[in-house]
Amino acid sequence: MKKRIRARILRSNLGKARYVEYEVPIEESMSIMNVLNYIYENVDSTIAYYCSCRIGKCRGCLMKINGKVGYACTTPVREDVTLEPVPGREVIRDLVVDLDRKTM
Amino acid sequence: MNTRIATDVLIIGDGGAGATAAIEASKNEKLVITIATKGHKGKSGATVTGGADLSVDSKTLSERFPWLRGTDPQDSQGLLFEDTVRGGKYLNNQRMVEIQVKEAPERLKDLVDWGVGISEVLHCSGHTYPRGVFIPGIRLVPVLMKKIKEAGVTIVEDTMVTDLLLDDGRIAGAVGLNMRNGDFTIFDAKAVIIAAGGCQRIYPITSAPEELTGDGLAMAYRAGVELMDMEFPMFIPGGFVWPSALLGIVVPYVLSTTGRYGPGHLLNRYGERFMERWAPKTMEHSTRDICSVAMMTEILEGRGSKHGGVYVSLKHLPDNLIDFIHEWQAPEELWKYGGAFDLDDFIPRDSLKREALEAVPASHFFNGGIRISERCETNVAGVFAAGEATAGVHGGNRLSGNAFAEMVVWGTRAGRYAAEYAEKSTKPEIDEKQVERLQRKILQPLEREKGTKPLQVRKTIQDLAWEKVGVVRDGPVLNEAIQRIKAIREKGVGMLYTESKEPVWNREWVEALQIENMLLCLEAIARAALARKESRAAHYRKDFLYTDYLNWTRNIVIKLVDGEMQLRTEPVVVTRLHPPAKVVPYGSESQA
Repeated sequence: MKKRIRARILRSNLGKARYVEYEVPIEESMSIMNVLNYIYENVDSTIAYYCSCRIGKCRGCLMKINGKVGYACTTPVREDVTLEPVPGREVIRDLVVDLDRKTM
Repeated sequence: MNTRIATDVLIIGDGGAGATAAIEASKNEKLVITIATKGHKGKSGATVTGGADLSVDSKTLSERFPWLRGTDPQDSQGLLFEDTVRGGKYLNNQRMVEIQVKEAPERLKDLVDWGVGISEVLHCSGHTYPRGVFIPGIRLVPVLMKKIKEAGVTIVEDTMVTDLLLDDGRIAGAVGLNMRNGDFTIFDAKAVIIAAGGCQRIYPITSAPEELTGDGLAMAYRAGVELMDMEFPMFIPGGFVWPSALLGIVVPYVLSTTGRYGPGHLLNRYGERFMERWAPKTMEHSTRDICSVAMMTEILEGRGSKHGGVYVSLKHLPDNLIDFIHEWQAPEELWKYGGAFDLDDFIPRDSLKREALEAVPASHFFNGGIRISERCETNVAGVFAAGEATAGVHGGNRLSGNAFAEMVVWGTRAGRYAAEYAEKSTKPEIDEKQVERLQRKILQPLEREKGTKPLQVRKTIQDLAWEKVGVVRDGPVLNEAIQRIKAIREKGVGMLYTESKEPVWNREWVEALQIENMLLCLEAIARAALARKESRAAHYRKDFLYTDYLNWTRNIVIKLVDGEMQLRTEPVVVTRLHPPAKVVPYGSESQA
């Protein structure tokens, strides 16, 4: 039996960000990255996020997870979750930011 | 919108090979050096993910880096050369292996001078002596990025180079897509170095990062550059198929061919330790090619695990040993993955006392790739290549630590010779018609209103690769795969479209551009695998269960000729280690 969670994601929308909610089935030992991949592959292929190594090494998938900054690929998911871009960085689109460029 | 960037040397890829190439080329102060990378700067490619060890013979290590733990002065450069050629089953270019063995200590010295800390040497399977200087990618990459910055090299990040531009048979530049703004980018260059890694993603389960889709190999091939040894993609026998957060990830404390690490037992669904049938002496610590073939045979013959792998069990160990399994079985940086990953979150240690994990051979490395000279030149003037994107050093199977050595030795050489070439060259003409044609090709999936979805085509390619062009091969099945590839090209690739028309960071758009490259690499692998009528190293044919040193100690070279993929064989470059003149059962030497 698969559990379902809700993922609230802050997405860019013509410069005005808004939250979009997705329902995602989860099983044990899944990461936030698995949730994003599920949404991209099965629900909404327009979502933007960064994914390279999947194992906490490249450090490209930094984002705000339930209010705390962390890596999508190393954070396990068990309950509903809210995902936002890293604060203080220029947003490229949705959860992708320019990690070098700080906003004022 | 179009962006134009003029440079003397363009380097594609900012991993270890691209970075060392840039650092070396920038020593010539007259030249402008530019790197283009598909990911965020320093945050993509295989280098940062690497475990990783750098092979240098233990004797030189003990003399020049005396503080290193675990060296053995009885080793020699000659022995490292021999192990590498025997490991590659005599398909290596021996002149290149000699260069690598000789220059690897110099490159290690560079890294140490630049600030990379080294303390211990690993003894990995296939090596007679301990030679693996342990340098994880997360320690290496920040140092390389700092050096690149100091050298004044510009990195154009989040930019996927799709094709090379030619001017009358020589390089003129390259074009690509800037994912950050959807702009079409045109590079003007006198020399190009391809250092963009392999094509691990053609297989659904891989230890490599997401973006390794063979872009470098495919753009080279389309420009008429020769590829070689493409039938030898390498698999690592411990990529997890479950749980999903760890898909493809290698967990070294459970299953590893590195020295004494990895005490896991491989079991099939009947609980049999099947390695007994393949390698009763070395069992789970046999070389990676043999373990992969054994695991895949269990899976294909219906004795696999619930999620499509085989079981990896630690139940033969006492509970109070499993309590310390991470710490005792691998250096901390390997199981903590740089501190960001807590494996206990995904595999609780206590669960290992009760349950087996499930693993498959994961796509890990490309032994083959772009055919280069000792000066990293290709057959197209001004096109150079280095690192995993190239063929030659590893032959049919790579030993642990030799990817790192290949990366820094050939990266540095490519930088040196490309800079020499660029300095002597005049500025080539960019053919605007070529540019327009390539721009139209890039824009097609975004402009097309309906057609095939990139994700579906990617999955079709991956399933085909895994089932028919994977670890275990068979002539009729390979033939079938080649027909399927043709059909996918005609029906799938020409009709790709993206659901979102947003030009900024459109994952589907990039996916669509990668698909042509993946399919091309798959075709090259399938055709070369069909042509090689024997089993050797990472190439295992069910219909030819022997290694034919007499007739098949040759490299298969692939080239685009008049729109067709053409194959030919070339004699292997041998300097002093001659292959045995005989035909032997596959894997029989691994037991020695």
